[in-house]
Amino acid sequence: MDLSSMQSDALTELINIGNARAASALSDLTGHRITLEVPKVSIHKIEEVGEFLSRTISGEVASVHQVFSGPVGGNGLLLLDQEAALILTRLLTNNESGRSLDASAKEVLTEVGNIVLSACLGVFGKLLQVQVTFAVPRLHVESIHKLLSSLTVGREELHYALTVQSKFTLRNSDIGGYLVIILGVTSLDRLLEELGHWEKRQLED
Amino acid sequence: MEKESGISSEAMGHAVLAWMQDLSPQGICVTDNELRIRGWNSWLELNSGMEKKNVLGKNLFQVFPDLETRCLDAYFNKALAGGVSILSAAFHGHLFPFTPSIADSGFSSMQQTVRIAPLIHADEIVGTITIVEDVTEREHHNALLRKQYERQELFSWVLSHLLESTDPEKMVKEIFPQISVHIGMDAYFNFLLDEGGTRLRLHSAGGVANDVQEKFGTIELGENLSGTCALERRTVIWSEIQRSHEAKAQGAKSLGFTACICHPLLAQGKLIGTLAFALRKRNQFEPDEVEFTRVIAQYVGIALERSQNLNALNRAKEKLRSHAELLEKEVQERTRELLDSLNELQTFSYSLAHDVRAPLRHVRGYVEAMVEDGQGELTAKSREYIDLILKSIFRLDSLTEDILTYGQLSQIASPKTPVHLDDLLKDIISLNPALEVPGVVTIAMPLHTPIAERPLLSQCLTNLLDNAVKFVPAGVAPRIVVRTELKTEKANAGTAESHWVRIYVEDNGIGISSEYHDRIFGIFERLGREGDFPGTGIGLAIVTKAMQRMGGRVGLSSESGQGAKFWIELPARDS
Repeated sequence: MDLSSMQSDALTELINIGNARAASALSDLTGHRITLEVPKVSIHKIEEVGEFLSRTISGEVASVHQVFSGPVGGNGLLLLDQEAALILTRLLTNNESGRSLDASAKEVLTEVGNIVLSACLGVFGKLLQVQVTFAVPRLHVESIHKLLSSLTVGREELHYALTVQSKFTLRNSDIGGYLVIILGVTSLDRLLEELGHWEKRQLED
Repeated sequence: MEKESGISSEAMGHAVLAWMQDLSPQGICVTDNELRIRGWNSWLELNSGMEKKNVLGKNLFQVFPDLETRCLDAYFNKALAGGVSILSAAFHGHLFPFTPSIADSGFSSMQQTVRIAPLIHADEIVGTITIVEDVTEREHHNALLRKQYERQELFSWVLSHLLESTDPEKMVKEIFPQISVHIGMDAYFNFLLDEGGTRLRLHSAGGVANDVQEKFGTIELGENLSGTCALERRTVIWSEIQRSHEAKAQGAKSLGFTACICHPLLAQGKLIGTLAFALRKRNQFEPDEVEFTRVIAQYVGIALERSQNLNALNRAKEKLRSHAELLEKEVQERTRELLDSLNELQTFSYSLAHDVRAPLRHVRGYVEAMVEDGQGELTAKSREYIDLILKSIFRLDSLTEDILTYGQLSQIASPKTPVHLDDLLKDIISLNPALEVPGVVTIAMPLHTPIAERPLLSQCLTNLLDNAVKFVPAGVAPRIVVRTELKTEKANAGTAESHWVRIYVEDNGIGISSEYHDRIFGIFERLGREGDFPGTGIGLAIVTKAMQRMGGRVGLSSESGQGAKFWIELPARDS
């Protein structure tokens, strides 16, 4: 499914609003200046997203996975390859000696994922004027295919993945990752429709 | 079914939940949507010391005012808006200020991982639920691992610096301050054993005033901590120094130290010094600190040993160099002295020869006058004596002349030029009637051209040709061949080639047995009896000396009775 350039621009803008909030929250939390950029947004059928992501992410990935429900429901994921996840947690906690994603590092990553996902999905919730509730975030370290297959199992409705390429910048380092939001086709339609209205309102203002 | 069990499923659910809450290994705190505490499980009662009945119904922020001051209220408000939060121990430390569950964890409060979520009933948010997990032990363990890792990094840093350094002693001074800070030591002392092996000399120290360093500049073995360690050659640890009444510890006590540790620095079992660390606040060292400082002491021992070896090597090299210099100077002095006396001798012999000639000419003049004037009066016997006198005078005259020639060789220098042998040989032959006889001298053409001082070369060839024509058995007509040869030489692989002209003077004379070949080039060396062949014994010595002067060589191949083949060698014009 291709996004029109207007849709793509509007989505990027919207996600950037969420990211700015997330970055500010992370900066407050860690005491480091952190920025979160979104260079690229795209939509894929869920069956195809694995191939798309494995072009840039290889090996094991660390994912923060959060289910959200309400009038609009789906899954939110923050994906980082293992190396990037390790670097990010090291930079955030000033712990240069971390050599593996231990329990403490996983927790930090979960909190970061929660902040980023909440901020992004919070913006969508506001746009759609619906109350979205979240489940407790969970962290997994596994291959990207295993991760995605666990998400597609048992779904009847056609699902799409909104993939948001993201870049954390802190302490002179860039760490790349992906924000993936998986939505059913009805939720996605509703989101895109509201996006159109919002874009129109923006232009009118 | 509900009726059969006699209890509603809702009541059943409540019972199960209550039981689980009591059993839970985590804290479970429930609030209503005005953040009044509605649930407070046994774990929370146990760890907070606050009983359920005392907190139920109270506002959460009233019970824990610091939640608001630490801006943690936002997470509860987020939950009321449907959001879920996870609070990691790394970022927040704790939500509720509880006492750490394990002793000596190094944390002032229990480390917690917290999840705060909305409590939903029939699609409505009715409050919040907070799960608190105690992760103190895990974080303590992580902190220990981190410390261990940092120490390992420090070890490799220290080791690589000590090994890479060209001046380990200086490096030791530089790394101690860094190590001390890193491992939380307040002072350090590094002593080295002096050469006599009886006293310790302070090499470097930190964390104490300069006058203290001066005061402890040298200590005896057995004195203070470091002296005791050096004497006993083992690690010495003193704890609770401020309470100590031991005489040895008074020095450390006066410096305000509370605990000290000193390790001997050993190199191949030999004591080279000590390394001591001191604390001012804690009363004893942790076992890991003892081990850490012991390993550092090992490293430092190795580095200092290396440094001492290096110094010894340099000293030996220096000694050798100055000895060689002295030797060189002595050789130069002796050579100069020898040259001086040689010059003196040459000057003396030259002037002697010169001064002898005038009276000699007098004697000859008078003897000749006597023969002329007394023709008829001389008896046959007298004439015989006079002949002998004249012969002796003639011989003495040639001798003095040759000595003068020899002496002049070292005093007069003329430029080195290409010398055309053809002309030179003709000149030489024309001066000696014996050589002028047709058929005596054969010159084999072509003649190569050497670089030489013409007068010296002329003298050499004259002497060689004179000898050749002279030393011929009676009744044999002398036959002399002069020829040249071009030679190419390479002194060593890689050096440039040099070209030489070798001039042969071959005769059919009496020859020289090979056992005499070395001797004949010396001054006054004659092989034949004087009566058989006239000569002074200086001719070949002149040739040798002249060739040396011109950077040439001289040699001979001959056997007794088979004629002689003398040669001289000079740089070729083309080289």
